[in-house]
Amino acid sequence: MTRASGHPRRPAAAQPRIDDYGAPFHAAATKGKLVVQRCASCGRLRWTPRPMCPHCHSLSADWPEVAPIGTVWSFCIPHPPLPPEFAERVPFAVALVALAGHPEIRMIGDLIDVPPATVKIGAAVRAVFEVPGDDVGLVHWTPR
Amino acid sequence: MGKAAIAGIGETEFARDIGRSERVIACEAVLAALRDAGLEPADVDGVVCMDLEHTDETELSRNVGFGDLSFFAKLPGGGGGAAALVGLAATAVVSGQATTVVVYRARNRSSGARPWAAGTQFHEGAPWMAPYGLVRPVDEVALWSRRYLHDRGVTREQLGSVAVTFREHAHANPRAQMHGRALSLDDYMNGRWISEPLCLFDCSLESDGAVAAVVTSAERAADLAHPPVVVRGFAQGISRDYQPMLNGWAPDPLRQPSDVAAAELWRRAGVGPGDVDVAQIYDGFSPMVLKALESYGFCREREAGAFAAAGGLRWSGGALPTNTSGGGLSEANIHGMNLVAEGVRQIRGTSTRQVSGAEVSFVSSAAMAQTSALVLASS
Repeated sequence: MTRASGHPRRPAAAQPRIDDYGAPFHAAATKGKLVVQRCASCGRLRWTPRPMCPHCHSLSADWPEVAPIGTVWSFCIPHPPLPPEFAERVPFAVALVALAGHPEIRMIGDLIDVPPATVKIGAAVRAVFEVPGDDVGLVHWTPR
Repeated sequence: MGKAAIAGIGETEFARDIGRSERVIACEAVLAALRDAGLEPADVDGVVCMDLEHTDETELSRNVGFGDLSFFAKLPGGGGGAAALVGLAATAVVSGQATTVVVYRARNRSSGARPWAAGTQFHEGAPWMAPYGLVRPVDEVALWSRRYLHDRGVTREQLGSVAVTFREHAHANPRAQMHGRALSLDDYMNGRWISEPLCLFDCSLESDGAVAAVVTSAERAADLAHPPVVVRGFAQGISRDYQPMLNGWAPDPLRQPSDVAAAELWRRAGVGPGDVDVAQIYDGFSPMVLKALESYGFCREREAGAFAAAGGLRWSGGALPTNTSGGGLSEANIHGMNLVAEGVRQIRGTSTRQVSGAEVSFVSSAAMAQTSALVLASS
């Protein structure tokens, strides 16, 4: 398992919410695995996690592992004023990454170990996991 | 079926720190709108506001002194909702739920911390964004905008022309927060970043202020203080799989609620984008203006940036004079209710950047939120 460097203390506005719908993602991420919610009935992937499949209305889901690689759909570079915990980290880039093989599934994550000014839309990236708490795993992205 | 009309508008001043509570300014604006219409508070039997509003219909009634209320509702969407406040009020009037409906938005940003700094997560998608640093609305919009500007081939200079144009309009409006504050394209290009690719001047103002309107039947409005401003068309929209505000999980994130509202608006209004004399387009962040120009058919896809840069939005000589009071970028951001008021003034002929002979006035709310749009007209 790879860990991001540094575990910034997150302000209230930035806390992950560990609920019934999203907990399996975090559980897998703490083990360095990238998983996506899938309808257990019709087999369609969906993101972000939610209780009902909008196609077949099943309430059952499983969480297959997917390849932890993708491409940058877009990104932004936040500047202050920011909550202090993020202001300390600038400059940093946050990306929406389309997963390889499942371009309709896109995940947010920080772009790490790359100067923000050099990032491009379409850049190939791989997942890097951060485990800021026992039940919490976050996915970041780095060039591959 | 009869038509509804806006019979009165009322505003407080707009300021960074207005020095009065949100409840006080809500009451002031509503009372001003009723006086503008020549109506009494006791005439009011309907109230529509945003679900973000802190002064609700009962408190407003107990302060301003309404009669018995037979219609009341709250609408979602923040910046997407102002046109819908009027549209829902008009729907209530036309369907007989109420005769005299007050709509309003009051904001006092100085009364507390910025919501994101106070720990607010704005929507269901936030827990999948905020831990990574997308904590402010501007960050979500910036991420979306980078892809939109990239795919549409919009340059920074083209985007900057939106803010520069609206600032020009604000210079004629002494009520605008940025009245008299120069903004050149050079100033824009050197503006400090807020969330790249958006700079300070791409972001609407932090404003205290309140704006209200009174909606009644067009027939009754004709006997009141001002010529009626008829609600010719109204549409709302939420695109399939939309999630506020980034919309990053929809099949095509560049398709936005504005595209849905546009599909019905013109048919209902019985006019088209080519008939519009003047437009007020919600500009919480400047890329929203370009997206709305595309959605509502004022420009073809990929042409909105060039249209703005060529002066298309300017009062002086533009094909579509837009945000003639300065908009959210330079007048005030009262979640777009100030754009509704300016849309009304254009039909009345009382704007500080009046479009000569304006008969069809377009008002749209945030393209990237649970959105709405209006066509206002002189008849």
